Amino acid sequence: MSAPAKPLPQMTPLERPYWEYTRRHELRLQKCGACGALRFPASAVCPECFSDTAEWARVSGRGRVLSWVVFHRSYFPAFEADVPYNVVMIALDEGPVVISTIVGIANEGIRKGLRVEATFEDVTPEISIPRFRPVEE
Amino acid sequence: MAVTVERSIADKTCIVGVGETEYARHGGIADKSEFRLCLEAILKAAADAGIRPDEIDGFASFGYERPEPVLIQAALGIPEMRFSNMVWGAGGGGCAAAVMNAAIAVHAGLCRYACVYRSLCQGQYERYGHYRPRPRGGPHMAPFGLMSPAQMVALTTRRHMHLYGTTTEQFGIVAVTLRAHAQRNPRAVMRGKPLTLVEHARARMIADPFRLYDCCLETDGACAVIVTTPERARDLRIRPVRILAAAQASNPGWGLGPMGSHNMPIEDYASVNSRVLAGHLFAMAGLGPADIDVAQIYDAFTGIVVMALEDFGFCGRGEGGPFVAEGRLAWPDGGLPVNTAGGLLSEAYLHGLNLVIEGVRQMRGTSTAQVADARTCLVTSGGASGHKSALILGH
Repeated sequence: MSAPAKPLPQMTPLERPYWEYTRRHELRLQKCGACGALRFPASAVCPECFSDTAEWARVSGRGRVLSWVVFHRSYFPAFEADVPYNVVMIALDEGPVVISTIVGIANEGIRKGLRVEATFEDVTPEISIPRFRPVEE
Repeated sequence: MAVTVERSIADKTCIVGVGETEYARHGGIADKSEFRLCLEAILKAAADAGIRPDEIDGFASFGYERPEPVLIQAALGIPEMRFSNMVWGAGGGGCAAAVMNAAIAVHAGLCRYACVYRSLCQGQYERYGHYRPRPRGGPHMAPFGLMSPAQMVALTTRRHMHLYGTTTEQFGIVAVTLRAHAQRNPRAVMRGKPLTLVEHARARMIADPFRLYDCCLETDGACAVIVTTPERARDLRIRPVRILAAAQASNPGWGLGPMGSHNMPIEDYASVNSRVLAGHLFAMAGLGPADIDVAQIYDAFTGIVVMALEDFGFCGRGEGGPFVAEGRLAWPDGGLPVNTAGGLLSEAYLHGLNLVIEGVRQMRGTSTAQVADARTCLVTSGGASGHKSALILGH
């Protein structure tokens, strides 16, 4: 019996477009059709103006590390081989905060304020997950 | 005179009975079902109050409690069950809110004796420290391996370290202090296992910056508390503990906070979502942080104790680490003894209801780490969750 695979994003009608764009290696967030505010994660109504119209607007994919941790214990078999692995909070230049993983440098190189940009890992033919890698200022 | 929103149920109700089963590490109680433990705690609370168990006619719980009040009603032969209520939310944030709901119910005359209860057999069901798939937050968390409460709260705690220079040694002081309190408490799971700062610093890393002893216990056991009106309490043999204030709140935009997709406003990120709550709680009591003699602070992880001290105004933003390092949380001389039974870190993890019971003991003068002349006790509920709540108990 093989170990369970890593969890994949759950597809809800609200979330599906986000993951359809990441599959195309594009980071897009909901932008209110009325007031233009960006929101993440997806929600049915704009919390600023209550409009239920929104488009999926492409964002730069660039941001900075707000906080990070390195996990030394796995709580799911599929992550055991990855320990120690990092999880970071990234404030996108456009405002919203996303959870992700820093790739391309050792965990020891992660620091607050690190400049990063999105890169995409194709984990299945249908799903690509946004990761982030350091970039020049 | 009209009751103001601020004062509302201030000092209108009281706690007259508390009951606890034995506490054990997850899996430590295998011969009794969770439901049986639940009933045992309720029977003990009724006995403590000096009422018959079938006089309980209201129930309030939180945190996805499994035994439903109608089942308890049937099991205890309760003729009329008139209030049944549960607060949303994981992370223990509904605990004091369940006490608040019981207080509202008895104050409004919906029922006479409302029982707040929580039974939790993490050995028989699921361990809270482990991955439990959740519909919300999941799409942006689990795929990255962000799966356990320790990991989720490590992120906000790390941010606090970035912003204010808070250190892992300061977290160690929280763990060591509470463990010392537990050494006096015969119910504590960690009694007989004192902890040093060196042991804390050498323990295995769980989710950096949290090592093993920064993380709370996973427990089997049950707790219950009986709430009624001062008028009824006069007919009981036990001295009531006054509920000076009870409040529930969440900061704007917090959502599920670190238990969700971490999109709370950045200015609140390194906090425990209790700023708004603290304002309403102290306003209801007509008291301020300086009036609190002893506190039971929700300590699922050491880092959230530091942040809660700031949210509740015991020190300024960013000053929680130095406040802890000065020994302020220590019984008996710290100034603000915290979690005098050992807390969730060292007594037991009953989702915070054991903190309410220790608050009652402090106000009765029966704690194993009794604060001399304590007149007020703050009890907070929830560390990282969306729903937050708190009580101020009075002598």
